[in-house]
Amino acid sequence: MPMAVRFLHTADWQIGKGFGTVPGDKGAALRNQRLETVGRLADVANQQGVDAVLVAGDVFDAQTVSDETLRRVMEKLRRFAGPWVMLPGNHDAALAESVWTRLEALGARPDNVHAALTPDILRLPGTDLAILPAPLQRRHEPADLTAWFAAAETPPGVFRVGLAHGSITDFLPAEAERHNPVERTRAATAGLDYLALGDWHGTLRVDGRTWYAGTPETDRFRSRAPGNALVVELDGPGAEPRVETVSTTRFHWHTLEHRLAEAADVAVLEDRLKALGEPFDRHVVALTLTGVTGLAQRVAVDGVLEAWRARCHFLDVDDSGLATAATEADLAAMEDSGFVADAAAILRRRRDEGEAAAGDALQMLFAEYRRRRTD
Amino acid sequence: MYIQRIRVEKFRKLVAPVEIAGLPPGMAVIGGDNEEGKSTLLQALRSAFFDRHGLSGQGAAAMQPLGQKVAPEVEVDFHLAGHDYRLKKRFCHRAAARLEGPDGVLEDEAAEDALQGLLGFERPGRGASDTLHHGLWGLLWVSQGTTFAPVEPSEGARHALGEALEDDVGQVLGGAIGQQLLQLFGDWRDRYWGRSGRPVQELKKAAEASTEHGEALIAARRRLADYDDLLQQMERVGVELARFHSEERLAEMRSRHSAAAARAAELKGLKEALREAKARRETAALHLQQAERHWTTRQELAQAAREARQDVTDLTVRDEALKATLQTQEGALAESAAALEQARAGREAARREERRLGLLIRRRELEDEQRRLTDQRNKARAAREAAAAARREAAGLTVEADGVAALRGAEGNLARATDRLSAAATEVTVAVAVPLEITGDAVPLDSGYRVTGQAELELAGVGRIGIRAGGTDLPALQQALAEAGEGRAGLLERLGVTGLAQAERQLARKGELQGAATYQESLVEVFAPQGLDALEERLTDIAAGLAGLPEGEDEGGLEVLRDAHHAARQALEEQERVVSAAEGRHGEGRDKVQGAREESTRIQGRLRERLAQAERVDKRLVEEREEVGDGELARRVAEQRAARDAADSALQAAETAVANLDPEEVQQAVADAGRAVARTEKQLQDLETRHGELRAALRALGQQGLAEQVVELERKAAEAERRHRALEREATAVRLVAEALEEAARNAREAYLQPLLGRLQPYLDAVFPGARPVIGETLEMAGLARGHEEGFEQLSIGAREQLAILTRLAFADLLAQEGESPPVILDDALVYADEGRFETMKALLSRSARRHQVLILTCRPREYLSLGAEQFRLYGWGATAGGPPR
Repeated sequence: MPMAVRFLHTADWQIGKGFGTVPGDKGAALRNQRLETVGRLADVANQQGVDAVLVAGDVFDAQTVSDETLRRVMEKLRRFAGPWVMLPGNHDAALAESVWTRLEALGARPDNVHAALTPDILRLPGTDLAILPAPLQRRHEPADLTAWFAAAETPPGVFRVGLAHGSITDFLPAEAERHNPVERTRAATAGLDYLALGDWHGTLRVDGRTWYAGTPETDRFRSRAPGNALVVELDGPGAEPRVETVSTTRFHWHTLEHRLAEAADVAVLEDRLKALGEPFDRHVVALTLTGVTGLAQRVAVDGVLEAWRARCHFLDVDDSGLATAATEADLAAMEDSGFVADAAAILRRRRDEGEAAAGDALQMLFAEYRRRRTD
Repeated sequence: MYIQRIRVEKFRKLVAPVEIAGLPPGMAVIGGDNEEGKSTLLQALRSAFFDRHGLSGQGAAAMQPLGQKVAPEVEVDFHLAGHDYRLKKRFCHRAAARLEGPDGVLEDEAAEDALQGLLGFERPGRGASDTLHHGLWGLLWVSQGTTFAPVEPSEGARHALGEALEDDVGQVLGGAIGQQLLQLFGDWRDRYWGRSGRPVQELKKAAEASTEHGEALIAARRRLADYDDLLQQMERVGVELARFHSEERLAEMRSRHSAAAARAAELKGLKEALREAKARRETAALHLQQAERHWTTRQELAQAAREARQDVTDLTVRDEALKATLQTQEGALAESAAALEQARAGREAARREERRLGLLIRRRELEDEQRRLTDQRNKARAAREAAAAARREAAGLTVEADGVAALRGAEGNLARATDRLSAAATEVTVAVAVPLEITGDAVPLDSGYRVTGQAELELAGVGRIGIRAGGTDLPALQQALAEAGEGRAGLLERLGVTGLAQAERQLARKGELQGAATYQESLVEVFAPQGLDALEERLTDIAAGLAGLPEGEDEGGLEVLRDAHHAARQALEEQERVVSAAEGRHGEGRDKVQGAREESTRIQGRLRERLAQAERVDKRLVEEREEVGDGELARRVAEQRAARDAADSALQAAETAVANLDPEEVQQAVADAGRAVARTEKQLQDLETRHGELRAALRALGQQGLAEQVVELERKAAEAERRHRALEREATAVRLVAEALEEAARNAREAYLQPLLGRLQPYLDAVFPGARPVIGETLEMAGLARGHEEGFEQLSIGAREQLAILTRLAFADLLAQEGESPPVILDDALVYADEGRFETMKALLSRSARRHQVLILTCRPREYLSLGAEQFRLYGWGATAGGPPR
């Protein structure tokens, strides 16, 4: 009588992935974090006492990550002594020459790490798990590589767990890629106890036996429910799996849109940013500002943004939809400023004529003038 | 504001107390000789107003008279804003300051502070003040030797002007904040943009960094694309290799090659069989040929035997017949020989008769010729002798035609010489009765004489008369006459005649003789055309010929002989024809006999030959037939023909077999299959090699971490671009602010300057008609615009001085109009002005002095008398003002 089995289902690590929209050291930190999160997964595996960790594709972001990166990932894996099963995905397909062949050539793969490079049943020693992998041997496959699962015979009493990387046919949202199709009913038709999927970066339940784990470290603003791993428990062959979602991400990505119309809106903005929660330095925020501000209000907004740029890991502000217009109060403040007011009038005119930089210039002049008046 | 009184003591050159009191609000002229202390007075005023009383060090020492440690004192009474003030300062020792005014008396620092508050100047941090600190005073008080310097208001002066002009222009200058912003954004802009508008410093570096990172990123992406390309190549190669192996392409190629090779081997066997069939067929053909040749030879030998026998028979018959014919022909030949002999005898008789008659005729003909030629010879001899006699007589006559012609000429010459002498001579006619004798050159005439030279006529009993001819050139005529006479005489002697008539007769006779001789000589040629000797020789020959001819009997005349001879010739010709006919018949018979004999000989030889040949052939035929009979030979031929036909069939079958396999196609198939195998092996090898190379290249590239490099470069490039964009946005905005501020400030300054220009222009119109002032950004006088701009330094020193003074007057006028103006003080001014300008400038100073005080310090006070201004004079102790200088 087989024992119950627990394993950790994860996918889409995409080690080496860059973040072009996040420049500088902050982008580098995001990239490095993906490697650190692998360590976090090992820790979760240990904490959850799983029998194995299944990685459903795209361990690496590209075939051309460095040897050092390969070695560092392998080193992170050593923190969990149980078996790791790595499935080549579209980013790290099992080509004739690939990260997997390089790993072998380097001799860097630990014995407990299994690279499922061919569509052959993989029995994990010490477990009742029979892994049915559908490795990608090209970036894009027009056929369903899991089709062979149905005919694959496994000894009675072992857990049949499929491992695949691709798109469930006619299931994923429109923005999902259409390559590498996987039949939605594959788990049922192939008699799988569980089908561990990768490719979709958010955690997603397809059916009771079919799940996308999502990426363990959030890597984009638009992902739905990213940053998790799944702990899957099977009491026996054919039993309904119990799936628990475990958050593994360090950074949380947010998109905020905020409209400024009156002075109080600046405070509301600050409240919304605070609402992201502590610690703030784990937030990656894309803020879009719209509306119209006066010169004085704009100075205040800029002050708030500068402060939050320092607090957040990264705050990207799109203020192209935010117009700055001199208010009556702004104009009154400069009334006795002699030719400075004339200069402001010149800039206003140029701004109104469509010269984009004139708005910045007006704001800048106002800020400096106000600072000196205040001093 | 105006100064009312000045008192100075122990201040530099002015050691003794000097006081100028009662200065008016308008113009005042303070006169003083050189070195008398005018400039010291101005310096004392500055120290009183602007130097702190506690000044020490060099600044204080400079106030003391040279070498004196005294306490300089200055006292000034002035009127300001409706109040009178008295300022008194003592420097160096027991320094003190005192200001008396409407608010009472203030001492020392309180006095200093109040004074600064009243006048609005700055104080230096330490040391003596200079004009930079004096504000408007520094602008309007002009020291000696600086009146032509540029008018550049200090910041304090500008500030004071601004404050003073606020009522006119309001806050257009933007106050201190405006200037700060102007400065701030100007400097800020200059940090980003160069004069040409190109990015500099930080902005330039940011742009360069962005470009640099962008290029590095492009290069890295290109390397990554190369990697992907290699990856795809490897995938294609892998697929191709797999296809190679799965389709067993090489095995198939090799199989095809083996099949082709087998067919080629089969073809080779068939070709060998064909070659052997050909050899067998050739052998059979040779054997058949041999059998047929034996058969033919036998047939030919039998035929030859038959023919030889037939020939022997034929030749025997012909030999017999020929012998009978020869006998008949020999009989006919003997008969023709007898007839021929007879004919020849008749011909010989006729030939002898004809010859005899011919000789007779010849003799008769020679005799006739001998007679004729003898006659001719005789006649020729006579003619030749007559000709010789005539030639001899003619030779005896010596005259010749030329000599007779010359003699005729000489006669003519003599006659003409005589005629000319006669014509020139003197004719003397004598008609006297006494004899007379004349001697000399005189020729008697009918009735006198002709004297051609000297002559003497002696008249008997009368005496002698000398005559001398006097014609022209008479001696020459005489000489010509003598020469003509000598010539004639010479010719007569040469011809051997006495006169011309004899000579002409002899010449005629000589001609007749020569004609006769010529006639006789022509006769000789007629009788002996070949010459007389030839004629003689012919006669000799005839005589010899006659001697050899027989004497004939009288058988008639020559004609008779000739007829007989003709008949004899015809008879001979008849005999000749008879002989010829006989000879023909005899020759013909002889030829026939000869021919028959030769034919007989030939047939007999041939008969012998053919007989021997027939015997040899018969013998050989017998022998060969004994060896192999004719039947056997025929059988052999049939047998070999059958064998040849069988070989032909076998050869044809072999050729058909080879042709059916299409050797060319078989060879081509082997070659094609071989090449296909080689090509396939090569392709496989190439693919495997390429696969290995790609694997190595990919592994090498993969190790470099290209993806991470790209990510890193993307990060850097994005950061650099973001930095550049932000900086550029800021720089653009800053530039806009700076430009807007400058434009606004420029507009404000122009508005600000308007009142000043309004006051300066009338002065310029008076001194520099048509010129407009050029005022710089810091209110400095930059020059004049007279059609084109002239910088201040480009003006003459006199124009500079005048322009500088007028500018100060305008400033002062403006300030006075707005409230208070400091006095204008000019120390030793207008020294460079010509007389006209000087007068104009004085008038303008006077006009300006109606609005504010103008103090003129000069060493030539009289030049200002015309203005009617009050004049003062520097004097020592007790000096005071009022009234004209003393």
